[in-house]
Amino acid sequence: MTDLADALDLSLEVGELVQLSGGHTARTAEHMNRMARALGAETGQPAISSINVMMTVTEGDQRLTAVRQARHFGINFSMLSALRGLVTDTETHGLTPDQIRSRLTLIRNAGPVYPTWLVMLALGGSSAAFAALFGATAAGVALTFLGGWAGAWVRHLLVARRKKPFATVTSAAFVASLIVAGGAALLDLGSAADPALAASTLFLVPGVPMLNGTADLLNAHYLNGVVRLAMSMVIITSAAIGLAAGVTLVEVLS
Amino acid sequence: MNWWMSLWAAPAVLGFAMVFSVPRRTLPGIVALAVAAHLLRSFALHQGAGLPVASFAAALFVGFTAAVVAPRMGQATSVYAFAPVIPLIPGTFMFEALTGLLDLTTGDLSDASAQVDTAVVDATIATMTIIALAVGTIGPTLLAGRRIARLAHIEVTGLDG
Repeated sequence: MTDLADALDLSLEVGELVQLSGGHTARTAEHMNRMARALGAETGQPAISSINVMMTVTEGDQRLTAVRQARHFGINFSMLSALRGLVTDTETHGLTPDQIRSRLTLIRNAGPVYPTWLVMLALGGSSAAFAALFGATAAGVALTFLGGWAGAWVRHLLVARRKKPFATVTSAAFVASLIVAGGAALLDLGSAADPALAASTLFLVPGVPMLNGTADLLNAHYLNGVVRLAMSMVIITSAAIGLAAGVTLVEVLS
Repeated sequence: MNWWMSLWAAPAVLGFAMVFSVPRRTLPGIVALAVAAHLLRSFALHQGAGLPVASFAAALFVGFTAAVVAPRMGQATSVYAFAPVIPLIPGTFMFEALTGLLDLTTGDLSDASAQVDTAVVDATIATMTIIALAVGTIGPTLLAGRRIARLAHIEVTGLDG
């Protein structure tokens, strides 16, 4: 028989990790509930906020409640899939708390799925592909690749120094647009540079917060939805500021 | 209409899929889904649909496919649903709305009302398209994820597949 404290502790840990890996609120609550019930709780009542996951579990007359910090809405879909598998395995194979803890440790400590240099290169490629989709010339596509690659590195390095999203995104957009606009001015591309400039900062699009925010709103988790969409707006506005600053600087200098 | 252009959706989605840390073995499926979604949107545009409506159709296709494929592959639905819609982001309209607003700050008011019109139209199309992408992608899983999975004869134990 599993201890109710184990059900509470492990469901909270699952909830924290789902939140950290990019699950929307309904998914986080559902995984926590399933884990608690699979470990013997009669009822589970999760409560998810943008900075905490909370859980109350009951069994007979016994009732336990705990809170755990989950400060970031992160993105790691491999982790999300692994957690989905863990919850399903606990339900179907009756994993013990020790087995679950071992798997959670492996999931939490798993290394990056792709090396950083490859991700940065791929983001440069994404920017270049956007430019091509928007009708840029070969020179514009090449410039956008360079700008997206450099901007992605700037953001990565600033995030590693724990700078705020406004600083990381604005700086990355500034560098990317400066390279594209500056290169276009040097090559005298004129208005043919517009598709490249439009694509230059799209590697900063906050896709996951926007989609999860929408999921939260459609699931009636209004508060968390608004928080995620507010995060998205800060990122989009920061990218716009960086892009405008880069383009304006090149216009002033040329 | 140059249908081959949709192949650019493949490298466009690849960077985002890696940033999202999707499992390596899911990359080919994600890339194929992104190209198919872009082709579908191009087809809808070719048939005369507006950008938001065409994008909504493409996003619905991605969301529905993800709801069916992800449980079968033992993955979270987000793995297949999120990255493939990124190449559908209306970047040019967002950029033109921004540059239109910046042009208004130059002090030249001779053509201000036309500039405002253009900026508002561009911003509206961009906003509507982004909303269409988000709702279209998320909708199938939230509204009918369990039913879609059952239709595909998949045994699921959770709401999200």
